[in-house]
Amino acid sequence: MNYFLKKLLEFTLFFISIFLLISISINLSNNLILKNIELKKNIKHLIIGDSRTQIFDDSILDDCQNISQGSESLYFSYLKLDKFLKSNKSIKNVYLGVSYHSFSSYFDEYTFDSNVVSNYFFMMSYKEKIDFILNDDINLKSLIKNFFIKGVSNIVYKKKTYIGYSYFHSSDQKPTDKSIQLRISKQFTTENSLNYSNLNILYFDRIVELCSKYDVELFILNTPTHSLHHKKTPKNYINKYLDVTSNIDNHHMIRFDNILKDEMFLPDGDHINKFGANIISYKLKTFINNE
Amino acid sequence: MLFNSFDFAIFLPIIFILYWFVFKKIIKHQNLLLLVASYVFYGWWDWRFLSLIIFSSFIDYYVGITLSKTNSQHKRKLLLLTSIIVNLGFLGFFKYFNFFAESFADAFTLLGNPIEASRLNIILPVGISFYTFQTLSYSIDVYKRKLIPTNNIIAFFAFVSFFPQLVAGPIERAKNLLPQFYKKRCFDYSKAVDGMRQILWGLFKKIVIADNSAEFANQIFNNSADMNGSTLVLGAIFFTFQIYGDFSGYSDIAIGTSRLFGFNLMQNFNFPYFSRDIAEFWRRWHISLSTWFRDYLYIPLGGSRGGTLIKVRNIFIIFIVSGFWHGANWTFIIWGALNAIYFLPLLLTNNNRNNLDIVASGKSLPSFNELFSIVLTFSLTVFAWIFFRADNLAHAISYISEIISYSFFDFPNKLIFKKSLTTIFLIVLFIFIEWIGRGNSYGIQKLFFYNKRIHRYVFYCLLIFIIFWFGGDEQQFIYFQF
Repeated sequence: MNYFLKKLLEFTLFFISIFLLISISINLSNNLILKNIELKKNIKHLIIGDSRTQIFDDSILDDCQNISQGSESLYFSYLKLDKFLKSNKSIKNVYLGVSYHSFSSYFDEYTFDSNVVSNYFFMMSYKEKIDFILNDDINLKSLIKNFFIKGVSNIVYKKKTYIGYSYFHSSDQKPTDKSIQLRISKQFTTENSLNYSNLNILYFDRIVELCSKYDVELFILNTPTHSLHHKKTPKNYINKYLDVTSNIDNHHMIRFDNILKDEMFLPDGDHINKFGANIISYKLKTFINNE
Repeated sequence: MLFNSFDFAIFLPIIFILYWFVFKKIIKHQNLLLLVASYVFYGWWDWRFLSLIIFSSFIDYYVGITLSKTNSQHKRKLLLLTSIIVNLGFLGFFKYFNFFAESFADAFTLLGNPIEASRLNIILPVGISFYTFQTLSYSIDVYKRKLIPTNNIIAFFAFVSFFPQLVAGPIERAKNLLPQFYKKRCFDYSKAVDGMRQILWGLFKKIVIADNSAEFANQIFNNSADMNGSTLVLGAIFFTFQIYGDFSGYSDIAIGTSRLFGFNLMQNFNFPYFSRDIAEFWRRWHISLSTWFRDYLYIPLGGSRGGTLIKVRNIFIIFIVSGFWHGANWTFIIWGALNAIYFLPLLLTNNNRNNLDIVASGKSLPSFNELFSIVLTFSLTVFAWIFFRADNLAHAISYISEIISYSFFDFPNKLIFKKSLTTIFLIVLFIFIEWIGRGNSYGIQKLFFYNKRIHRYVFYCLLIFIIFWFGGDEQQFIYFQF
């Protein structure tokens, strides 16, 4: 019996050693990459946010890089800014995507989605990593799987999972009442009740402090939505948005209202199609050049 | 409690440690621990149905004791009848009541007197078909004086509810399992290691092969009306591997777990998809059930003795009853009948015992003839599984009709095919390993056995990695519903 337990322990240790060896190698390699990673040289403007700000085409914007990423919550934007503002002293302006839905608790689902978390896992401190691993909302199996996939991908490919890029979705379908209502229901109601994301509210304030610390000007980008989407957005969320961003002066709150036609939106009424993206990218270019 | 659950991963080591460290000195205490553990294992699903197992165990224990005390043939028959009525009564009520009620109603409707079937809202107790047959085997063997009845109530109750094989077999014969509860169990290192290895292989079969195949089999069978013939064939093949991986995987885990506690259970699957004819398939598929029916139904009916008509009758009875055992649905009955039709020509031409040895023994690859026979037998099996998996007869018929249409020659649904490529690769890998290990009790029993320990460890780590990486969505074991 003792011999069996000894052998079982031996195999378990062998398995754990291999697992740890691979995990530590991936982690160390990624830390090394992250330490030396640079954004585009001498950029002055940084666009950061979720899929809504991904549509800004940084190839037409001077000295600008868009590092937005789909489903990115403000917590992850903070992690990225903390890293990149430290190592890229040329950055003068940050354009942060914040919309009404940013403060909805629906966003927390993405914050704790293992597929999303794993994108930023290597940017986190060990304490944050452990907090995520132990969090009940995390699918641990999927997180470990994604840790390996994304860790290796960061080592092999030039494109890193945590950086982000300009991108827009396309669809042949047009927005309808039904498709917009579906989106509204998803974004603003959780089991038919209204809830706010305390995490995103907290990290919005932290981003403000961070930009102030690095003497960087922070602009809030609230991209437009389809008129029906805007109409259906619950007032509580608009008020919450105004309340949370009340310390930001009007000049730093960028909106592109009444510029886009309703047909320039994707079926969800929340995202802009490529024609709309082109228009507001040029509008942002004008804004940046006038700064 | 599922074998592939976190609960079981905690439960098993606890019982193992208590069994070998705390209760190892007194066999009665070990049996008591196994009994309590088995009831916890079963009660984890629904504790209310524990009363059925306890009642059934008590009846058979009492019948056994009383049978030993009486020589009156009339009284003995009455006692056996009591056991049969109680056990089959439970099974009939919980499993078949609604089926019979609906079938009677349908029959009356066909005769022009429509009546409404009264359905009962009954939950089928998990594993009832398995433990009922196990406990029945005890009563019948005692009645036939093939087995001395036990007066060790704890050993008997533990035998009926032995948790590794309680809910999905193998259906053990009392002659084999019960005496193991009387003997002192000593820890056997090689047996325990072999058990661990078999558990690992069982988990691979269930989590990697069955659960991944299930995803596509379910998708195709549930949307069969929208699929072309070739996709439906693919769906039937996926189900063929799902049911094998699921059920034989469960059996492997059950046998492996039993070995950890010093018990030997019978082999339940012996590489059935490498069979060269249907008779060989049935000697290798769900062996514990096939031999149960052989011993307690087929042979008492006369077996293969007697005239052609008797043989045909007996074969149809055993296969149809076997189909009906799986579930109260006409699809299972047709599945059984279809297998009887496959089997009969072999029996009537005395070719049913042609392939008793291991296919391509001592060779790496089968001959052309062997390969042809394997593919043909496999195809017949896949065809029969369509009835087994279909929701009802109409579903099975429409499924098969589409397969035998021109759309059979179209390329399978591209999206499904593309998504299933990883699963197809895993199935091919699985077949390869099973082929290499076909001379052993299970696929990986001797794989890397004679290599250095480090090679074995790397291989087992790789298997664990595949189980983790490619594991499909957790699915219930199919045979739990039987």
